[in-house]
Amino acid sequence: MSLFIVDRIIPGLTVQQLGIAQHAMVESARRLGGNGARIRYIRSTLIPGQSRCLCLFEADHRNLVRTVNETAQFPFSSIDEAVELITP
Amino acid sequence: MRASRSERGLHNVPAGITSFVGRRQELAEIKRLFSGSRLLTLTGMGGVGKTRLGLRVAIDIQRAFRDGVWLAELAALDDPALVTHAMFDALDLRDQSARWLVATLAEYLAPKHALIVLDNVEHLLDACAVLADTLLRSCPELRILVTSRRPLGISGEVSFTVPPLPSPEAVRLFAERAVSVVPGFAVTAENEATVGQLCKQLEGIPLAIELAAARLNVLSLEQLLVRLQDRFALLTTCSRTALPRQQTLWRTIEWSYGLLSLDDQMLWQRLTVFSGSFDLEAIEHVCAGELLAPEAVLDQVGRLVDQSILVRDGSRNPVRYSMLESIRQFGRGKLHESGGADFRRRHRDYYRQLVTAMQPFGASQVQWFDRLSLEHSNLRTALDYCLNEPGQAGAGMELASALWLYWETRGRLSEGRRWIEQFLRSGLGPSPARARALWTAGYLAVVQGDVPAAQALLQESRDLSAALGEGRSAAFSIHFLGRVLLFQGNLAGAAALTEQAIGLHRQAGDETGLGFALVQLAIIRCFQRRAVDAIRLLDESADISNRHGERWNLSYVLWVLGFATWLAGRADDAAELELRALRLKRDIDDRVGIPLCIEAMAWIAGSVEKQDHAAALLGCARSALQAIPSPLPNPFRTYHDACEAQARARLGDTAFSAASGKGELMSLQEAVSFALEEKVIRPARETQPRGSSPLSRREAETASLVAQGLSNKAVAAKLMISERTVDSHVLNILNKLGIQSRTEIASWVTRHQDSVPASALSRIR
Repeated sequence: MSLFIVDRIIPGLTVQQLGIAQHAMVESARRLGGNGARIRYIRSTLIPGQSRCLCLFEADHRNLVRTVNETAQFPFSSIDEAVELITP
Repeated sequence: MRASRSERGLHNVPAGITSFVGRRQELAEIKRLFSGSRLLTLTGMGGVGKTRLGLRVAIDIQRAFRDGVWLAELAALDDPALVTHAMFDALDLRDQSARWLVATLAEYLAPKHALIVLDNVEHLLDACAVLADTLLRSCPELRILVTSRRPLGISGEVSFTVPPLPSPEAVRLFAERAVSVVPGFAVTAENEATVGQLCKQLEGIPLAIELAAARLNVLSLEQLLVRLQDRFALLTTCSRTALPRQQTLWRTIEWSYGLLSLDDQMLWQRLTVFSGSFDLEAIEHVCAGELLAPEAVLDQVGRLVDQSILVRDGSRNPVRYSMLESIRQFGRGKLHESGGADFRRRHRDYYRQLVTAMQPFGASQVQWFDRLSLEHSNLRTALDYCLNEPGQAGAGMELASALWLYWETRGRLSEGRRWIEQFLRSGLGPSPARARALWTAGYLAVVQGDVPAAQALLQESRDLSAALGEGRSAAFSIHFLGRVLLFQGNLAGAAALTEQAIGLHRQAGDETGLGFALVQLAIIRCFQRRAVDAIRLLDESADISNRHGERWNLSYVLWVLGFATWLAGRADDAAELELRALRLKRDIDDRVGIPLCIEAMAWIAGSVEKQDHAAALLGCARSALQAIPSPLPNPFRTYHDACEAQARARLGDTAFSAASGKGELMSLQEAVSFALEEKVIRPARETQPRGSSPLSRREAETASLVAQGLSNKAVAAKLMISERTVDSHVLNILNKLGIQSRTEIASWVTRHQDSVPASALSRIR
């Protein structure tokens, strides 16, 4: 699976609302995964000063990430493949 | 017939669904199940009557919901990302900010005791399930009723499988439908057995029965039975893996299809390119030609209505038509087999022409916006075609951009932006269409208050327009960049850009842009305390609107003119102008402009020391904003805060809260009437005389016994009725009183001893 980062700018998004969105994304990924399609929500980062929210997913392909976010009704501006370097 | 905008109070459930046959047991069971769950899904095969049963339940219990019953029809929606938008439509809300729509919806519904009906969700099951789960978690008094071929599969859901009609009810349905085809038809001793056999052959499936009964116009009962039996034996195209009853329905539809002429079959296929409802003009443009004679289409439509293939909605003028989902799916399959892409393109072309012909700045602008609202599902389908069909993105970009005033005036800002931004990302290079799409998206973003996004889009449009020599797009991008600066509080910069845009609009001869830009500059001049300049600008803008017979911009002219006149020290004239502006805004259903007018009226009232009235108007404005829902735009906060501070200081906190609270409790219609100093008619529920009970005698008896701590079983024994009936009474009590628990019933009974009928009390003591 590859990592994908979903970028969105949503004015006024609060941590509490992000909690609601997170639940929706987890549930959406759970429902749409399976039948050979693999996707997992990993985490989100909110940058309040920019109204910007970055969400990390692990998935087989980009379209699946898009569908999960659309199903969660959480709009986005881009989905890009990403690489993470974890402290060795 | 859907409740019209003016009639919409506390529900939008169609008032006049055709006769409803039987289902008494199912209705009772569904209501009982609903007493123990906040999410109920009616499942079952297509054509079994889930929608009709769901609507009947909703109608039966609508009075129990303080904040109404709202129907979201999702059959025509294909895009899961737009489910929240469909909910906004159902609740008659305006998508007016750039906030996360789900959060806005959840906040709006959180204090409400309402029922939402999600109809036909099987093709959007995951999106509906996730949204329903989110809303039920956030909104403690919300209930959701779903109709779907499959359950949503979320926790707390109770599902009820809608069965086919049992024999006596199936016969009654057949007889009712037969009467509309053969006046005087009745089930008699002679034909009873044949009708019974027919209904058995059709397995009690309501849609199959309707399709068969429609054929009585040319066949006798006996012929109908024989032909059905013959055809069922022959037809084999239905999937062998489908459930037997699904096969029966499919075969009945196929049988019905087979009895049509080739021309009528062709029309059925072609009509499936529409979404939601459509009118005759659209049918003639999209479906006629290519072997179908245009002059014959009217008669063909009549025949399809007679055969129950098309559903006629005569509540509209012109009449609109739609198809049940099972019928549409069958026809779509046949169209696909015959290669129907051309008709999807023709559908797109028709709606593109419709939008191009629109006069958004003319005498019929409101009618145009209303018409486009009716066609919203078809517009989505046309845009979706452009997005997914190779080589059509440019046309889609133009179509989405041409709808800019529709997106705004009908509160569909997020959706409009979403379409345009998808086309912008589709890889098309620099072009005049792209320059226009950029400023349109930027405009929608600035109206939403998403200033950073607006600025980026508008700057890109301005640069591209300059490079391409696109004068009109340059004018609009600079015009709206001026509004960005206004929202950022840079009045001098905003004025400079708006003046530049006015010059460019004049140069391009664009009176739409000029009319809007003059109002924008007038607002800036008001904030700069240059009221006289503002009034001069507004005079010119009003002239333009009047010349075109236009009312939308004119309502903004009047609103700002009232503001400027007030700043110039003429409060009485200002109040009169705001009254005119508000009347106009009510006429054209400008939900965004209404709170702005009421706000200005509050400022004016406060300035002439009518503090009590000012406080009430501030409450009314808040109520009108909540009805959108949207916050007051930032540039006006200073005036709002000053008005509120002054009224609080003069009245004291308690009196201020009482006065503004009075306004805040009003519905939108009541708030507008109050501001216009019209007589306010309170809803019936608030005028109920003290001491009268909302409960029936039996419910009151049940409530009293529940208050004594009796279980439903014990109540049933005491009243000598079934436990199931008690379940139903308890649900009704909870719904009618807007409460959640038996403890709350006990509290209510204690508080309302005088409203429980004496006969009820004596009977149960």
